[in-house]
Amino acid sequence: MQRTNISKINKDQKIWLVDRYLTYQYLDKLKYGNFEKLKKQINEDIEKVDKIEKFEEMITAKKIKLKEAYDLYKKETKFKTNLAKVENNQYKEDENIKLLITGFSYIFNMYKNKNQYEKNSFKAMQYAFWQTVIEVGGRYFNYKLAAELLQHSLEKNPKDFIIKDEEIINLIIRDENFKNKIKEILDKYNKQQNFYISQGKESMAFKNSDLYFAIHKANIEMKSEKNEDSNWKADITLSDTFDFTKFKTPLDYYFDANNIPKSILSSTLYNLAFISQKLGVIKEYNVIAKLTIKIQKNGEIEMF
Amino acid sequence: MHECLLCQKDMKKSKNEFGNGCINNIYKFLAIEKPTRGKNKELFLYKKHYAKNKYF
Repeated sequence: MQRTNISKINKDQKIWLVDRYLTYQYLDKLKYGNFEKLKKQINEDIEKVDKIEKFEEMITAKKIKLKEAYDLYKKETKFKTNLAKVENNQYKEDENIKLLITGFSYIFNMYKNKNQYEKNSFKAMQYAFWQTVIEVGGRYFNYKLAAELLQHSLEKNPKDFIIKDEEIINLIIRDENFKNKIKEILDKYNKQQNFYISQGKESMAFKNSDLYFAIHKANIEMKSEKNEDSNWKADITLSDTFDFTKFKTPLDYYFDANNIPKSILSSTLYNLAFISQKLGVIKEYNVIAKLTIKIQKNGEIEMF
Repeated sequence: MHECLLCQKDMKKSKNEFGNGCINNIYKFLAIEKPTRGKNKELFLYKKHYAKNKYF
């Protein structure tokens, strides 16, 4: 307030000065979103307040209202408080769901919020939210691959993700649904010495939760040949797009998770991710796993 | 530690965003009526004085 000569300003100008000053103070405390240009303009407005006759003459009068800055400050304060609760992870599964919905859903509500500054702030908060989900999901639920893929999707221009980790490859090979699918394919082509399945003809969903949430429905490309011992050697490429393209209901997840709180949590997170992808916070990319395996006559699968 | 948004001093009692000193200074500067005891001075300022002018 000492940037302008307050002894010479009238009553209205005092109101406008306090308005802009308080707006500045709220914006100055915000961590999510970039307000530097706006704050600089507010400072200019404050310095010229003794020269204006109408509030609308201020550069920032229509750009951001005091109430908008106040609301943004309050929402960010609420966000930080709830984020700390999730990070401390003192809650049980159903309490986490309640916290997720009541504590964060507003930062995904973009339809009512037309102010560009609020949109940018919410996008930054969504980014921070997903970073916390990654840490908690990877640590608490042990969904390491899903967490890693989600982390990758937050990059500016994520490249295709090639799965090379031996532990994950082994997880894929040991997966019940994967084994059943390979067996199903081999039974179909059993009379041939070799065969090739191009991408798009066969697909599968993993039984393992981490693989399911990470890769979900994988397309299979497979080139196989039978050796002298009637064992098969197969070069397999599993691929999927890491994206969140449509809303899912808890029922979509229930039969896979077989757990009501987990299915509600999963579908809620998925639908929030759907919104984040629409806004460009989460980006889609391809996930690919290449493996060469040997399938024995008894159905046992091992790395070649 | 809960600091005043304006002067960053530790507010030992106030649960609002502004300390009593700072918010009282604003009322004095604007020469407007303060709320009765117990009311949130920050929100009273906005709803009573700024809302009617459509600033809040």
